[in-house]
Amino acid sequence: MLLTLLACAPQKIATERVEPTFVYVTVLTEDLGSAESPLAFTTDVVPLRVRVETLDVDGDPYPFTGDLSVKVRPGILEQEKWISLSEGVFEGDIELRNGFGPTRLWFSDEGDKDSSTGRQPSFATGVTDPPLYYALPTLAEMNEIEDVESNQLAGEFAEIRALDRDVRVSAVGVNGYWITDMADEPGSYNNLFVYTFSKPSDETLVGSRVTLLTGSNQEYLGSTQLSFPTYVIGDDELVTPPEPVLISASNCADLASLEGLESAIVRIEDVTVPAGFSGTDEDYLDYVDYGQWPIGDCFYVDNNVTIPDFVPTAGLEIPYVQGILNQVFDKWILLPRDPDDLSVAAGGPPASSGPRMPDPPGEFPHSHAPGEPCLP
Amino acid sequence: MGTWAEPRNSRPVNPGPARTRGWPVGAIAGPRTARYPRGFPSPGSLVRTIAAASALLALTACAQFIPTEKQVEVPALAGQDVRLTILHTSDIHSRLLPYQFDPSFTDNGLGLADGATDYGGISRMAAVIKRERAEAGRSLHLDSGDCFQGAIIFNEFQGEAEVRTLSATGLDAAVIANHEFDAGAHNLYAQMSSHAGYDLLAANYDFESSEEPWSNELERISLPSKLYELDGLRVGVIGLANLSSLNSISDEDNSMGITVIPAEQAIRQEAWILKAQGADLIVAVSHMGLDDDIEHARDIPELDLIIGGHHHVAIDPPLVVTNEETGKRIPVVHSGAFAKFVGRLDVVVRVSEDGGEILSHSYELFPISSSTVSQGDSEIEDILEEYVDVLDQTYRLDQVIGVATEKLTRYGSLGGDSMLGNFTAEAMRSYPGVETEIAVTNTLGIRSDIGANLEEGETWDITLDDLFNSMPFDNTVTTMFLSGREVQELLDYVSERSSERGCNSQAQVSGIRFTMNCRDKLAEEIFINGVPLNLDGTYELATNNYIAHGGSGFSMLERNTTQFDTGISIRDVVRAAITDQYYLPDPDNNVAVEDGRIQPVF
Repeated sequence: MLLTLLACAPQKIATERVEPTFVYVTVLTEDLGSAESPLAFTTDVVPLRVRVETLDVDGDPYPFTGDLSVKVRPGILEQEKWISLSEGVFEGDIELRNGFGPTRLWFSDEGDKDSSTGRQPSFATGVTDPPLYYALPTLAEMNEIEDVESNQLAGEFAEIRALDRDVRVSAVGVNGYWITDMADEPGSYNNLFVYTFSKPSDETLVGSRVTLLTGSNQEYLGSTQLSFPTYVIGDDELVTPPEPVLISASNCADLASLEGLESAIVRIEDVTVPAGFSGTDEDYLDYVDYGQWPIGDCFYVDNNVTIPDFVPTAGLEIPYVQGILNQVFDKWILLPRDPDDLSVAAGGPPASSGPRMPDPPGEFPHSHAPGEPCLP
Repeated sequence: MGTWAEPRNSRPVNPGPARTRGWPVGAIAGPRTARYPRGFPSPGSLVRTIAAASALLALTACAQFIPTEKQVEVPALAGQDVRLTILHTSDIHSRLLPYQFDPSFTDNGLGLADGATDYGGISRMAAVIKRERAEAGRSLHLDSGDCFQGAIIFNEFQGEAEVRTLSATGLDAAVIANHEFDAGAHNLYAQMSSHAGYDLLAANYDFESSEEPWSNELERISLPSKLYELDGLRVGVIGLANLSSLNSISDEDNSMGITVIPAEQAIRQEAWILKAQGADLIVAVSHMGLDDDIEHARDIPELDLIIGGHHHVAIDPPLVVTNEETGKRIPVVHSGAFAKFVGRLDVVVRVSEDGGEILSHSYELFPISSSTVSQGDSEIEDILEEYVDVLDQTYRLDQVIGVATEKLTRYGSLGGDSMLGNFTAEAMRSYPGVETEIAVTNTLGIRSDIGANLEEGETWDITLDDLFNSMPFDNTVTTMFLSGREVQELLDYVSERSSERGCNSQAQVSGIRFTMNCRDKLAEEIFINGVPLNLDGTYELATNNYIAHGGSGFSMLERNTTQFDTGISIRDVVRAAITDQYYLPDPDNNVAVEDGRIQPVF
């Protein structure tokens, strides 16, 4: 009884109903794919034919004339974000690209495109059902894009196609690991850094297979990475990671072409630390601040964590250096994995030290906010 | 405003304090149950069923007979798509007033740009939240806890300003988090019962089993879960309170007056009750931390959304976790800390007779700074003005106590010792009357850099406000004697804990130098004031009373029987040290500089 009395306090339900109450969407395109047989991931523009109708509070057709906003989740809308309805109906094509997994279009009453009409929106929203069903992108499909500081899934929660690929751990760092899709050719955008904040799980070893990988897709200092990842390491046998890709130290004309090698293991041979590397030289000052030093005309090496005792000097000959190729804004920096990745000509300083693991890309030591995890 | 009085063993219906907003309505709650074995039905299921049925009957009766304000027809949603908007905040930590801050590159990537005059502030958050709710239909504002502790306004007013301003923001519900207890359980009750216009949720705390008097109080101000009815859409919200940071909560006879219910059991139990009441969606508002949130999304089929906090991470795009049993894709959202962001999650729900299914979601994170929010909310500013006036008169927060000639950082650049960490530990150890051989304090007791926006060549006047923002905790210096083996155990623990946090040292030290081996989770090459650690020796330690009581897992200190709490405030110790030194850092005398006393090895 008490419950009943207490529950019967006056209640404000709503003050006014704005129509339309519902948006009902019918997909007219036939081939939508399915979870079992998804459409191929594509960056091409795809039209999806839809019929959009507005309904009133009773679920009956409502003769709405005005605009609805459109968006695609996940993916990119390739047309204006507004459609116009007349007498409660729109029928036409909506263009989109870069959908992956179950992909739906949203149609929402958020007011008119011309806000000066002053029409009060109802925020009624409908989505396409069934969804378009696209395959997850491979690493290469996700990474390949003209804008070197972006990727095809920028701003999305990414899921990488791994189960039917051969995605392998190529290197392990103190707060993340690098992966390579071995099914693709070297240098074909098939590498990625996975940022785990702390040391990756014990089963994450060089050569182990990743069978599931999701994470928050972010560009960090110019390099693509997955943060806060969920991943599964398969029980497949370990394999040898790919051999380093040999690149030319003088390949400065088109640095953007190196994008395909971002996060891959590369090798540069027969280079010299520039003669002017000292004093007020800009590269030298950057080295003092951040730890990376120049080789050749346009590359850098950061041995700060993995070979901390090694100090480069002007004119020093380097028979070879290899490591993970990392983009930091407009610079390409090699991160040696261990002392064996750096060879120094006779007479130079020793390139050896304790076995310390590399920082992630873009991480001059701990430039990632150390975070404010559990509080005291 | 009255307290929330309801019969014991039953949950309130339309509980307690007068709400500042008429929305949402239809509060229905079942009994706060005791712990039952995992699985359903539990022994109390009949009671719950009756309670739920009673509540449903009550609602039905109300819908028919009770006059409502301009009641309009509630739509039948079955078979339709509807949109739900959730504004969410977390870990505000008393940053009600804007503050100086140096955004990291990660912050920049999330839209929090460098160069703003100041950052954060509850009036800016409120402006954004009210604007976004005006641009949404069905909406809720949920807060994932820890609105208390972190600035002087909490030290002075004990959370009153936080509760009042959040209420005026229109907050619907918040979860109880660890820092809500920082001024005591009774204080939480007092603040909530006097000032709250929102619901306080915690399904995994059982207050009934305790004899502590404040256990009853906590029960009165909280609910395990609540059903919100939003224009026909029924959203069940379950509170998941923090466990990991409340070391006293897991003691057998803990002083919190709380018995912990395993989270999975609590979620399934409350979800069952909410579903019985007709919930279309089940949302968890959580302060358990990201790892637990992911685990719950993956393992518990009843959940549809998780609004999380505790780890101070802002994640955009948010995580989507696939539930292993149902294949449902569960958005897990976190919006960071210190009033830097407000998150907006939109979901489209397909409603059926059996409940709702989230078909799609969309997310936006709003950065809070002078650059991004030009005008704060005037209602909130009026409330804050009362408190600011008192603070100004009482503390003269703008008084200068020293000068920073470069930014004083709380984290070491290499993950080891830090400028502020070394300075604090030195100050504790050498304070008159303390004067111990060594000092250890937890890194996270220092909450922000000082002189964050300091440009090269400039100086920064260190004010009392800076000190409170950096050291908000009212902790005191505690001394104790440790054997050499206990020192080894203490530093091993620091290494182990740090290894789980990116090898960033979780403690700062004085009189100690050691190698923090994160690979093997061991402390090596330990020197005490220049001499190798003698495992059979005895050392006097200065630390803070928080970790002395076992906080953050320092159980090897908690069991020490030689503890002596000096009662000396660590903030006062540091203030005196700053005033003495005045210009910081002083590299010539090794003051407030990183000197490598903690060497991390990865």
